[in-house]
Amino acid sequence: MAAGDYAILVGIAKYADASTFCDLQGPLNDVALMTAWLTAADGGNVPAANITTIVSPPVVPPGTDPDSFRPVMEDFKRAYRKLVTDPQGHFIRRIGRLYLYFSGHGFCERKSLTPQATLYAANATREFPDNIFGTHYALDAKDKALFSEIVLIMDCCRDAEVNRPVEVPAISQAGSSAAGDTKLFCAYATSKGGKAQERPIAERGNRVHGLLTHAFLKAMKEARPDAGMAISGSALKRHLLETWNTLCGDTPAPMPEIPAPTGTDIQFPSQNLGILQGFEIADYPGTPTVMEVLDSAKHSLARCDLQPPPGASTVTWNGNGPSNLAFDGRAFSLQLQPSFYKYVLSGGLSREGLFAVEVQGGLNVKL
Amino acid sequence: MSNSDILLTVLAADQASEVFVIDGQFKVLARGIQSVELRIPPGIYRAKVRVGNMQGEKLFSVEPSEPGNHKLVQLDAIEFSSPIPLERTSTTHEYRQQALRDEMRVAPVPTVNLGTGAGLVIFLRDPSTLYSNLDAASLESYAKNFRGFLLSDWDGQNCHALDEIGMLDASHGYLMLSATVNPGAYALSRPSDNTERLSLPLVVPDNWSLQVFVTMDPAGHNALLLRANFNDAAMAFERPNAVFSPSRPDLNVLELARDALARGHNIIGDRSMEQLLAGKVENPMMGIFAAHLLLLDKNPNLSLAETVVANTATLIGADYPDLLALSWKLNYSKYVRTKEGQAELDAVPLLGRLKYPPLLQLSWHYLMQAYRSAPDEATFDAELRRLSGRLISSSVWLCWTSFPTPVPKLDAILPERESLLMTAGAEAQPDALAILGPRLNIVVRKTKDWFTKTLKEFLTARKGARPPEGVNSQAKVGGDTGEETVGIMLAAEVFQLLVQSVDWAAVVKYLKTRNLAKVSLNMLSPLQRRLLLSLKAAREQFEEDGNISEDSLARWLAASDIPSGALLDNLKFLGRYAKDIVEVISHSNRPS
Repeated sequence: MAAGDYAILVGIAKYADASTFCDLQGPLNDVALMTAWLTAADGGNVPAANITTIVSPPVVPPGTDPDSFRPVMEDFKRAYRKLVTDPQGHFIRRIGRLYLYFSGHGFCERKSLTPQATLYAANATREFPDNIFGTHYALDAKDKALFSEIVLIMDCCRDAEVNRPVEVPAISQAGSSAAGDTKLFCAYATSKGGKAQERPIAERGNRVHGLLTHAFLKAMKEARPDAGMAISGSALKRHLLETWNTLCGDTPAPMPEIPAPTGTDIQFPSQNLGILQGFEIADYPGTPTVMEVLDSAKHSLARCDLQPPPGASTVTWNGNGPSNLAFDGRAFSLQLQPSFYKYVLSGGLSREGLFAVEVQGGLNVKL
Repeated sequence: MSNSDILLTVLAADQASEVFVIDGQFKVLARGIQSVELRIPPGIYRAKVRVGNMQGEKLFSVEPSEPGNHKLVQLDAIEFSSPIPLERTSTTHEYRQQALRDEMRVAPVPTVNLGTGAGLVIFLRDPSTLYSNLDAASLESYAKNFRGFLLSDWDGQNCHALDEIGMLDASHGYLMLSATVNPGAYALSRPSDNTERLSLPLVVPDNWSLQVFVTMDPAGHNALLLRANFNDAAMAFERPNAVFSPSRPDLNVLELARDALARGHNIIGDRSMEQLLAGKVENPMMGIFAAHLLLLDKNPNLSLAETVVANTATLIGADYPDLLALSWKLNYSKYVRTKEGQAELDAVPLLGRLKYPPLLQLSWHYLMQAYRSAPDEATFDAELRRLSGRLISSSVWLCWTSFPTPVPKLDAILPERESLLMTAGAEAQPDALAILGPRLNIVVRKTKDWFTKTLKEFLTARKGARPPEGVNSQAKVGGDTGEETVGIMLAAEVFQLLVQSVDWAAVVKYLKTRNLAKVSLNMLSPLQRRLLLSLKAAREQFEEDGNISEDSLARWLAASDIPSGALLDNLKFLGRYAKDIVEVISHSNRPS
C-alpha cells in the first residue's frame, strides 16, 4: 500500500452557463475510473482515505444561481490546502506521490510558453471564466517539495485564450530547496489550443470517457514495462503518443501533450498484460501452414503451426515447448507486447509482411 | 553504432513535412524536416510524416544485406486541409476543383470599386458538399450563414455588407468579393450570435491584392448552421489581376508555414527555406511567415531573416505593420547576440510609423515588446490602444471583438440603475476613484519619480533583469492617455487601490447573474472582463493575507500584451463601473 500517496480528483460535468459549456458525460465516469485504478492493488495502490474527489452533483435543480454550481475554485483550493498544510497553516512535506486529476472543459493562456491548462469551474460563464488552474497547483506542490512525486493529468481542452485569465490562487510563494529533487509527470489531453475529446468506449461498457483518461489507464495495463514491472514516465509517454491514432480508430483526435518529465522519471506500476493481437488469413488453403513471428530486432519470437480444423494448431514461443493455439481455419490470436513485428508464412502459403501491435482491441492483422 | 549499421534515409514528398523514425520500443530515433538520415542496426522501424494537421506512417524493414549498406524510404505525399482551394488538400474535392478554379480565375477581375491602387479578394466557402442536396427552403436557411459579414476600415468605419457588394452563391456554397481598394487597413468582421463581432485585420499594400480565404465550418447541432473559421483563415498576396492557380507550389508551402507558425515552431529547414525564398514567385506573405519562423528557432539564422525582411520590404514597403515588428525583433535578436545595432533598438521611430494593426498576433507581441523597451516619449496610436483591450485568441492572425457602435454609456450597460435610483430614493455611493483621488495624486507623484530613473535602473529594480549594455535612455514605465504620461507603476497602484476599495466578488457575481439571465447584453471588452476577474482574485488574496504579493500583482498586470495606457484606461473605467454596480446591488438588497 502506498500509504504516503494522495490524490485530489476533479470532474465537472455541469456548468452554470450551459450555452457556452455544454454538459459533459465523461468527467464523472473518468473520476470513478481513476479512483478505481488509484485504489487497486495492481494500480496506484493509494489508500481510499487519501483520495479526495470533487465532482459535479448528479442533478442540478433548474434555476440554480450560477455561483451555486459546484465544484468551484474554492472547493479545490480548500481540499488542496487541507492536504498540504497542518491545522496551524504550516506546509507539510510528504515522502509520497500526489495525483492531481482534472476532467471537464478547460483552456490555457495563449501567451504561456510552458505547457499549462486550467479547468473551467462549474460557475464559469463565457464572460467570467472562473477556473481551477491545475498546472499551477502541481507546480506549487513541486516548488515547495510538498511531495516527492507529483502526477498531473488534465483531461480537458486547451483553447489558447487571450484576455482570459487563469486564476492564480493566493498561496504563499515560498519555495523549497528540495524542489529540484521533486519528480513531476504531466499529461494534457491535447496540445496548446487543441480540443480534448470524450466518447463512448466499447471496452468500458460503452460508457463515455475522456480519451486521455481512457488511454492512460489502458496503457497501465498494456504498455511494455521498461524497469522490471514498472513503466517509466518516458516510456508511458512514448506508448501513449505512438498508439494514439490506433486507439482513436476511425475518428481522429488531437494528440495529447506530455512534456518531458522533470527530474528522474516517475515509475508507474505496469500490469504488463500485453495485447491479444488478432490475425486473419482470408485465403487459408486448408493445408498445414507455418507462421513465424520475428520481433523488431528480427529475432525469431514464435512459430505458429496452423493445421486445418479440427487438427490441433500450436504456437511455440522461442525457447519453450508447443502450446495449443485456437485456430478456426481463418483467425487466431497471439499475446504480444506493443511493438513492430514481421511475419513469414510458409507451407500452404508463402508470403511475409510487417505489422504493428499497439492497443488491445485494434484491427486484426491480415496475413 | 556498430559496423553492421545501415545508413537510412527517410524522405518525405513535401518540403515542409516533419519526418520521424521510430523503433520497436516506440522511441523516436530521429526527426527532421523533409528528410532524416541516420545509421541504425537491421530491424523493423516506423517512419512518420506530419504535414499540417495530417500525418502518415509506414513500417519498413532494414535488412543486413541492404545494397551499399544504404536504405532509402520514401513517404507518399499526404493531404492536408486548407481554406485555399489548392490541389492535394483534403478540403478540396477533386470533382469540385474545376468549378472552384473557374470561380477563382474570375476573381482577379474586380467587380466592386471601393478605391484605387490595390485590391482585395475575399472568398468564404463551405468545404463540405452540404449545399448540393438542399431543397429551396433549406437553401434559403443555409444562405443565411453567408449574411452579416462586414468589410470596413480597420477601426470599424465605412462598413459594407459583404453579401451586398460581393457575389453570394449559396447553391455552390460560397461568397466572394473582388474589389479595388485604396491601399490601407481594413477589417473583415464575422456575424455572431451575441453582440460581439469578431474582426480580422486586412492590411493591403500599394499595388498588391490581398486574397483572404475563409472556410465556413459546422457551428453546432443544426447541420445547416455554419460559422466562418477565422482561426484557420489563409491570406496571400497577389499582383492585381494575376490569375489564381490552385497548383502554385508556393501556396502549399505558405499554408504549411502558417500551420507551423500556429504550432509555434519552425518546420521549414534552412535549405528548403533558402530554396523557397530564392524562388522567382513573389510571395510577400511567405516572407512574413518565414521571418517569423526563423526567429522562433533557438539559434535563428539572423542573416537569412534579415534578407527575408529586407526583400519583403521592397515588395510591400518597410512600413507594413508586420515588417515594422519584425525589423525591431530582428535588431533586438541581433543585438542580444552580437552587441551591435544598438541604434536600431530605439522603438520610438518605429512606433511613430505604426498606423495600422499587424496581420499576425506574433507581430503584435513584438510590437508590445518594442513599446515596453522604448523610452517614455514613445506613444502608441490611440486607436490601436483602444483595440488592444479587445484582442482575443486566434491561431495566428490578430483578431478582436469589434468596437460596439456607438460605444455604450454606463447607463446603457446598467439600464435599471436609473430606475432603481429613482424609486429607491438614491443615496449616492462614493465613487471608488473619487475616494482614491488624494491617494492617486500621491501615486502620480511617485510615478513621476520613476520617470527620472534610467531604463537600466528600472529593470534592475523592478524585474531583476538587465537591459542591453550601454542603453541609458530614460525609463519607459508608461504610456500615453492623451492627457498625461502614465505608467505601469501608476496602473499597479490604481489596481491595488481598486482591490482595496471594492468587493469585486460581489460585482462579478452580479454581472454573471445578469448575463445568464440575459437581462441585458454585456458590453464589457475582453480586457475589461479579464481585469474584473483579476481584481476579484486579488481581492480574495487581499482579504486573506491583508496584502497583495508583488509576484501576483506582476502576473495580473502583465497578463495581456497591451500598452500600459490602455491598462489604466480600463482600470479607471472599471472603477466607475463598479461604483455604479455597488449602488445597484445595495439598492436591490434594501428592504422595500
